[in-house]
Amino acid sequence: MVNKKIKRVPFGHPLFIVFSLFLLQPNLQAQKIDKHYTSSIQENGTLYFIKTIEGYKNAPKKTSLSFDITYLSSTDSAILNFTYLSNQISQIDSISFIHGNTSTNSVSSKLFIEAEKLNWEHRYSSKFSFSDIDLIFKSESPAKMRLFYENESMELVISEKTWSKKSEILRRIISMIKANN
Amino acid sequence: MKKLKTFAFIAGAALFMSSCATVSSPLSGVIFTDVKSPIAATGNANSTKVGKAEATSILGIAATGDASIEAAAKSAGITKIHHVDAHSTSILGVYATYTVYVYGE
Repeated sequence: MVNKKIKRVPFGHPLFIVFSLFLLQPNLQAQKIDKHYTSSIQENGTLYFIKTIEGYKNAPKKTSLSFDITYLSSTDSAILNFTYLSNQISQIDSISFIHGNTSTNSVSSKLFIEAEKLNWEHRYSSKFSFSDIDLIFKSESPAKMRLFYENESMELVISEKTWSKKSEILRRIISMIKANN
Repeated sequence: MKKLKTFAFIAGAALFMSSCATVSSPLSGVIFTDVKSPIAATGNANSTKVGKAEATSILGIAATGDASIEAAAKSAGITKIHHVDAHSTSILGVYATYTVYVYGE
């Protein structure tokens, strides 16, 4: 008599498949944009807030930058608030996006500079025209960012993979805003 | 023996549940929570700015961040608040976030 033991394949278990699908859900819906913005109806238009975009870095200098965008539909300009993390305090004058051969520049005004663990958190605000923001995120290749401070400048870059993902989300949000204008 | 097993099960379940990342929300799901809710509204007119502040919890063991209205307003330079909303998310009680959005000028 041969004792046949049925081998259970753990990966084939229905519960495992359901659980895996649940975990994969965010990836399957990567292009969903509703998690990436908020909108609020105001007397003078709709106020859109595009949530924080992360990924800009300067690896050798160990600095990073993230930003969010606020846009009121009755205006032409969008507010880009950014957080710059560095181990040195810098008085930032302006910021620019470099996409292709074009550079889009904007003066930055300081919101605050605070200590963040061993780094300094610089929070600044800049204004860009909405059409420039649209143009920047239409770029297929990653747009670089350059910070200008105290007669110096620093370039921050984003990986192609992150740019591809984030710019696609931004393009869809911008398309939606334009459709509602 | 049966009583001991029951006691061990209850104790284990209590220990497991106490380690869940819970998040403040008017409605919450055991598996998944993704709820937006109101916090406050004022009589101030119109908003032109939006600020965000967030706190996170992992397994209910460690929770960090500053999700105060003050932090959210400060992040966008808001001095007059129009209204405040919150967004709570939780996945399997493992990872939870609580985000505060302040609208104002």
